[in-house]
Amino acid sequence: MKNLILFLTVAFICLTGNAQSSDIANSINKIKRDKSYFYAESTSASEAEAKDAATVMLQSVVSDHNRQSGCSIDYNSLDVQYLQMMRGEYYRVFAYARKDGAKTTAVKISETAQPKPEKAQVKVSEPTPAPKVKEAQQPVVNNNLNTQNDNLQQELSEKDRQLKELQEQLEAQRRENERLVQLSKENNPTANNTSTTYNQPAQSSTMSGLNQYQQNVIDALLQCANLKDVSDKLSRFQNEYKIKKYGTYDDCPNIASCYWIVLNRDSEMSMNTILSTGNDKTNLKTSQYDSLSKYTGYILIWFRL
Amino acid sequence: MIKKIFTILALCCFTATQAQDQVTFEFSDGVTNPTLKAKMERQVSQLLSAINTAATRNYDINYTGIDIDLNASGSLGATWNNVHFRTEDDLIIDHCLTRRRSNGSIKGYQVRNIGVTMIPLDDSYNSEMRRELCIDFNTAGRIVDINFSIEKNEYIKQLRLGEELGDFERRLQIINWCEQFKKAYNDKDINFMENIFSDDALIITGRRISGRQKSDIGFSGAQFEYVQQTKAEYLRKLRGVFDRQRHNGYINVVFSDYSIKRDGAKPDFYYVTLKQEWNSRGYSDVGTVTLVWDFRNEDQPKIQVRAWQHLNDTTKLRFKF
Repeated sequence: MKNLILFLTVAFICLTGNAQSSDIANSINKIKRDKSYFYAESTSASEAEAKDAATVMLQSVVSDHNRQSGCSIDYNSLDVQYLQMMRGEYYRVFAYARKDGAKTTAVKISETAQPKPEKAQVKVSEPTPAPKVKEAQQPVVNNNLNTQNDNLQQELSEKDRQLKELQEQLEAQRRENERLVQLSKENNPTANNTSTTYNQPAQSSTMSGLNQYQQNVIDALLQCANLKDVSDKLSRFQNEYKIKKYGTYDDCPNIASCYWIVLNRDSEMSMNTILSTGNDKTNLKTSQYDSLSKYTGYILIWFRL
Repeated sequence: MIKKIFTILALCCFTATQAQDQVTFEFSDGVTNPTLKAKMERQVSQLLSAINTAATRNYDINYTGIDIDLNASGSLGATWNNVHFRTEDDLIIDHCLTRRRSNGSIKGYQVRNIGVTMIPLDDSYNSEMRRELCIDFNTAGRIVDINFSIEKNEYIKQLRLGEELGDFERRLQIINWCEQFKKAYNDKDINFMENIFSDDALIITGRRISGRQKSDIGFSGAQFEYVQQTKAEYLRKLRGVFDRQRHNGYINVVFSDYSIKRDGAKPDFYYVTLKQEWNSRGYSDVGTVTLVWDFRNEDQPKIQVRAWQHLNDTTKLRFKF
């Protein structure tokens, strides 16, 4: 009897231990079967490599689709989402995006990145298409004028909703930019505080084009005090897919396409500043033109959003 | 009563084990003909299930009921002699890729990214414990080749270059042939070597001369000795190596760091430089191998030149046709 109970207990633990991974795997298979998604996946010993490979392969899938179907879908216009699960000691990263360019509803999983076998229950919501957008893109052909009017009204109200959302996003970004401008004035006491203007780089390749979470990433890194803070934050952001990659100077793939964190070579390796992307770099603390070559001898860490 | 319960549980475990070996494979997209799609899906499902069953029972793979080319099953069998493996998943869904010739006509189909866990048979195995299988079909849905995919970083590197230069498919084709060439060393497949080298191939092998050379300014660096051989001479020596390693020996060759260049004047000729790590019982070395591939017949390309250099020897080799 004791042996039976022991056997049943071990069997139960083994079965429930795989519950979470199989939930994510089921979601992945569901997306693959759904013809309205592009997808690609990669498994690697390194999480960053797996994600990078999945992204490149997804781009290739989109390129192949364009070549074969004559479409011209821009990969950068797609809303790419990622799912991750462990395969033994390897990281499996699954990248997917809706083919029609609509916002991809992210599959919600209560435990991400590091599944713990002893937790049995994980909720996974089904990936559902955005029904309103879908309806707007499939107008019903009907000779009845009243019905046509109704459909047009629906389209217009949907477009109004999307426009409102965009406006709210822009407003939020504008408020954030103003806050950063104020911060830079406070950090630069030699600036003329009575002036309402400041030296804006002619080529702004820093804040423009960033969405809210990317801006938050920059802000959070600017607040770091030293190398340890920077390292902890970069690691966390990468796990949360808020940054793509980071590394030291020697392994930088392209200086112009990366942000640069500059740290002083003192006992604490304290934060100096962050430089923007682009050939002409902007010092994100002072909003002044700057150059990476000025920081020879400093500790330099690059990252990509 | 307890004995009955244990018997039932044991039967359940046995059934579960059998079920664990079964694999279901589906294409998500890439092939429109439903009959062809169903045939290829069934083939892959049966093949992967047969591989898992053979791994569980430590048998040879049973190809009964699978429409597979003799060369493909022979090649897989040769690999199976050195290492076993089984699939990671029992339900696999993936893209069906179309293989095309340089003139755009369809050559066949392919499925990649089938993850397998390696099961070494002895301690001679020192490669990755996780690999990915790549299965090729002809246009009728017959399995014509099964290989391990190239290492992911290399694949991504070539994908990036290929997207930039517009020749990704040809690059992948070249690397696939290089990987088959490498596999032929590991499988000690002398027949493949007979077919892959052109009859008038130029083959240069080399070795490091041991001991430092004294000169006026002190001791200089290592010296290297290179030997030029014909195809017949090279294959005779290679056959000897294969025979010695076949009993209680092993050969484990690894290719990496591919560089592929096309001959400007002769677009069907490609220069491939790669790093080769050679490991066998009693000997190992690392060198740079230059291969000149002739793709005038892309269904059966030939190696025109195979030259080996030690990694420390930076002399540039030039070949003229």
